[in-house]
Amino acid sequence: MRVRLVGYEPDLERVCAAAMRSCYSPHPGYELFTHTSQDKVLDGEKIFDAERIGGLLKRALELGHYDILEHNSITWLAEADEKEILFLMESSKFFETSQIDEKRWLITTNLRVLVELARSTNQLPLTKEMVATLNVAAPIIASSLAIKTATS
Amino acid sequence: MKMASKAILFSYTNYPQLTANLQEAGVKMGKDGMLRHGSFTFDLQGISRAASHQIVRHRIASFSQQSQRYVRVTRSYGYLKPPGIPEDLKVPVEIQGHKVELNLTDVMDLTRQAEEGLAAKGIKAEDARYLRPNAATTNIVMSMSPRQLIHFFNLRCAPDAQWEIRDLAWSMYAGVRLAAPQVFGPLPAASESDFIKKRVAIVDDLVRKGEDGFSGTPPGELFRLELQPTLELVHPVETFVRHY
Repeated sequence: MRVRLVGYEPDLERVCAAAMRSCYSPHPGYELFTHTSQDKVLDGEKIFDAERIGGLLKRALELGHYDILEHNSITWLAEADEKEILFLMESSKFFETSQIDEKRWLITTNLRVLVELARSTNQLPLTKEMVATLNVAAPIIASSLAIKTATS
Repeated sequence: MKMASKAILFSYTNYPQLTANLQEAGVKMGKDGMLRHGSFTFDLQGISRAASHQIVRHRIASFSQQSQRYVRVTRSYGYLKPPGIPEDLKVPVEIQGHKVELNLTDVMDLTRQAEEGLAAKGIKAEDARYLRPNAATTNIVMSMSPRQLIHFFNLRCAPDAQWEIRDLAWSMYAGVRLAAPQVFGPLPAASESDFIKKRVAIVDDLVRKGEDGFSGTPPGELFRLELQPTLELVHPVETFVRHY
């Protein structure tokens, strides 16, 4: 396997959606993040269920408000050459890379960068494989971008 | 309404899981290497706009801050009182020929009334908010990699940092020490500052005392890390870490 997903934060789509909504709500991000049942009333807020999270993230994609997708990190172990790594590093300030050995690299970025790569016409096979793992870490975003099932 | 500040570490890289996944692939990474690969997300609640202006100077980082345009003052009013301004200290001001003496609470109340008054007269919230003082509280979600956080802590935990951001930085530092001891240790700046060195030792102790409570916290729930009065923060910052 050329690209292997090795790390991402749990509930990262919920985190991004809470961060997005916190900009427009009197309630802070964590209160929104945990607003999952009717037991707790948050004045003026809908329950933060899958439908709500999906709605917020889809809206962010429509509006191009990708910055809210930065509140996370996704890490892969990948076989790549230096040209491919240079391409990644030139494409976004949010790439972090560590060379493991002659062939393998540890690569970390966030959901925003992956969405931008997914929507880019200028993709490498490496970035396509990274984006293809999105449905594991971020199924709602992957579905919105109509990304095929990850092969990793 | 005076607000209590909170620093909630509610999303962060699961380093034991990441390390296990790498080991499965025959890769062993040292602590320094891991600093670049991860993210820590805090919900900072009830902090002043003065502090948030200082926080957003730091990069590479990501921020989502409560909007003053879309969240009206009537739904978000609050302010943080600097401990350096005594409660009873009044200053003389002149308004339309009338001399009055006001304390900080009076001024906060005046700006609130004026902002609400403008809104009541049909002025857009985006314009009325220009009256909001630096003490006005805000909420901000902030994410940084461990490497950037260490840079942030080195600068903002220092004795010459302002009290509010310094208290927040120590609270956040204690939070990451508890959540990810695999990557966060003593601050590099401790070797150059007795102030930082002494406080790092206090955080060490407080985190050690909190470990059992944290590991016993149900998954998904918050653990409250008690820092006061031992850490001698200038103002109260409630510190929480979400347990995975």
